[in-house]
Amino acid sequence: MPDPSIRKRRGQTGESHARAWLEGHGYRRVASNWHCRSGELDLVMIDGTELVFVEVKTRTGERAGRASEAVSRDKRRKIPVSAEWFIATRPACQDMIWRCDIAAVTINPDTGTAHIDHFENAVVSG
Amino acid sequence: MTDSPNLLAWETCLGKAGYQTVVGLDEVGRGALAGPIIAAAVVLPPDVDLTSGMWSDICDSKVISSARRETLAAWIAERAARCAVAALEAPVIDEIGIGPANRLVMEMALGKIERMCEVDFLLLDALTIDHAAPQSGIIDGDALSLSIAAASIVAKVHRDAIMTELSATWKAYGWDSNKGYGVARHLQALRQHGPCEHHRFSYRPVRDAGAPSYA
Repeated sequence: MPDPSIRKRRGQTGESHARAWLEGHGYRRVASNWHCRSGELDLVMIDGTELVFVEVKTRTGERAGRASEAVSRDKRRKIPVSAEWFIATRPACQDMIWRCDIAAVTINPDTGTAHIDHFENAVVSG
Repeated sequence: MTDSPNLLAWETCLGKAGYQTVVGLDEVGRGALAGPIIAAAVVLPPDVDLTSGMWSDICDSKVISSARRETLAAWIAERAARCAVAALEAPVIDEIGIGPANRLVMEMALGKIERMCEVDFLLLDALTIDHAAPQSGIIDGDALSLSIAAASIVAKVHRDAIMTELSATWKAYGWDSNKGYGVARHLQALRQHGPCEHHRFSYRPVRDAGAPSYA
């Protein structure tokens, strides 16, 4: 088990990679690391007219397994609930189409470069 | 969050406060790229005992297997004091927007209940609707209130059945398994075959897939 502070720092690095990648694809940031009683939303972005809640999974190298596989069943249930809390705090977002994506960030331990796999609609609430 | 909330906490409180008919409302299909949104309204029978029958098995419909959910939906429909379902098709969602469609379909389901009895209080999942009755929008309501959880199960079973039926005609999209949600196979079929008349063109993945394949 890695040191929690190392894990946290790696998570932040992954989130900034994911955010930059998404912004490069035309997304706009609304919030990041947004907390509520149901948990945390890593990134909240706007994709055109749609609100996107992005769960960022960061892994170093392939050895640890693919990051997209690391979203637990419990987390999959909680993300849409956290999304509802988020929407409840923003009347402007109430009527928007929203979805939950996963951004899997794999960092190459030798070069420090990041590879990003973006899975749209990866967490389905219905 | 507590691990096992009392699913009757809201209903019990409201009963003590004098609200006789409490309607639980829930909607499913908001996030799907195809098919209708469905709302269900359920009024629990008086004297529900959480330790008897299948009431104790009704928790958030998203964590119940689909076979179990069908059994529970039939059980709820039979025992509920009132139960009603309403649907809004994809073109209407495109026309008025998902938010208003979401509220409208709930109002439609509620309207059916109101034709049967007076309504005193509404319990809804996460939102409130345009209605004279007092109401509470409970976030994660289908995990916190038995009325909402029951409505959620009825709505989900109803919608799943519709999507399975539609998939017999529109075979390419795998709706029998993905229920119209944007999973990989559905997105791939959209790119390959284009959307059909049941798709929601106000959703970006559908728009991206180009012009409708039917005419």
